[in-house]
Amino acid sequence: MFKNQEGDLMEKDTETIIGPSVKVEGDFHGEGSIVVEGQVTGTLKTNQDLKIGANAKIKADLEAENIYISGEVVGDLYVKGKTELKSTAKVTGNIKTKIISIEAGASLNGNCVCDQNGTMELKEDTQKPKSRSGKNDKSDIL
Amino acid sequence: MYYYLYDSFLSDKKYAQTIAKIENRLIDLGINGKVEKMSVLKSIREVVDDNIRSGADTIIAVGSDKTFSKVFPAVANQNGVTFGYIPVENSTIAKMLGIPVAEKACDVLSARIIERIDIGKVNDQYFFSTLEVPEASNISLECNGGHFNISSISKSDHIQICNLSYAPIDTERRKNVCNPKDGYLEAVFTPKEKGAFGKDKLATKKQSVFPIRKMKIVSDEIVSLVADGETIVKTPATVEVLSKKLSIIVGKERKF
Repeated sequence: MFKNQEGDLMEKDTETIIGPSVKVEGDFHGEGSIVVEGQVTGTLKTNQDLKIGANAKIKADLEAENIYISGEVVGDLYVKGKTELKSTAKVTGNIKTKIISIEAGASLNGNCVCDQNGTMELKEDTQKPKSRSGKNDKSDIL
Repeated sequence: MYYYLYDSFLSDKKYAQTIAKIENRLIDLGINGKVEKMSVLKSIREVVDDNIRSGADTIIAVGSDKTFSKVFPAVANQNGVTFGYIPVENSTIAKMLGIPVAEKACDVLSARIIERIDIGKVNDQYFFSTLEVPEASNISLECNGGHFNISSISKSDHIQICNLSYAPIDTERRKNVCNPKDGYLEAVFTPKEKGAFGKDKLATKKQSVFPIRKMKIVSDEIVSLVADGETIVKTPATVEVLSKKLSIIVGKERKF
């Protein structure tokens, strides 16, 4: 119901639209589905679907139920459901998802983990290394 | 008990016939009540408060959209009071609320379909439909307690904060973008593009829409924001939605 036959988000279900004329900076946590055609820096998180348009430029970690990417993303992706990279997609970062689909022409520079068992854990629990004190420590990564 | 507040411009002779028709229809429907005319010497808030203390439970603004915008804040402050509107001429707010013009509006009042709807608050002022942000450089919206901010890349977008909008929003593509019952205000950014003869026109198909509960509008220079086309508020301004704050009588043809 959410997708039409071409796999695009239907506008009437969309709650947040970041258009081509707009820039969002910071930790954006949306409650509904999000369409991005503009620029985002920081983090972008929603409990529903996220569509990154062909002209979008994202420098952010993304977290969503499903993600459909046609544009440029620099950052890590945490997807509970399906990740789709269209032919124009350029992703630089790690992907953790349940299902992935990559069209010919798409580029992905990073690691990809497909967790088919559905035991996806939150980014804080799995991806960020922790120091012995339990706090994230950049020196541990290096 | 119904209480009717007439705008001062209705004293003009050209409205006499319309007012007579409205009053006759109200009597026919049995919903006539106390009538008072607004004037510069009376504070609307005091007049409304006095009548509510005297037992009025339904306050009806009679006049234009400006009358509506002047009266509804006084009613929104009261608990258990319903607001109604009789437009005497074509009115955009009335169309959104599904209320026909003049004596036909009386039938809508009589049917008494009541909705509890959201209203917007900018600093200490209430607004019903839209807060317009004029074109200015370096305006940004700080949202979610400053966790993220939104700004226009070109610095020339037309920015509106909408509760119930009749402004140029691409409603054909995005139904119910501004629903006054959803508990959100919508920050709408519309870029401009060159149209015929080099004139700027709004590119509604490239709009950005952000549902937000509370935000702060900040700018490098002081900018005047216009609420409901009337009230002017200066930046920095805190804007928030007051969920289901106003009980209002609406028609079946309402747009939400």
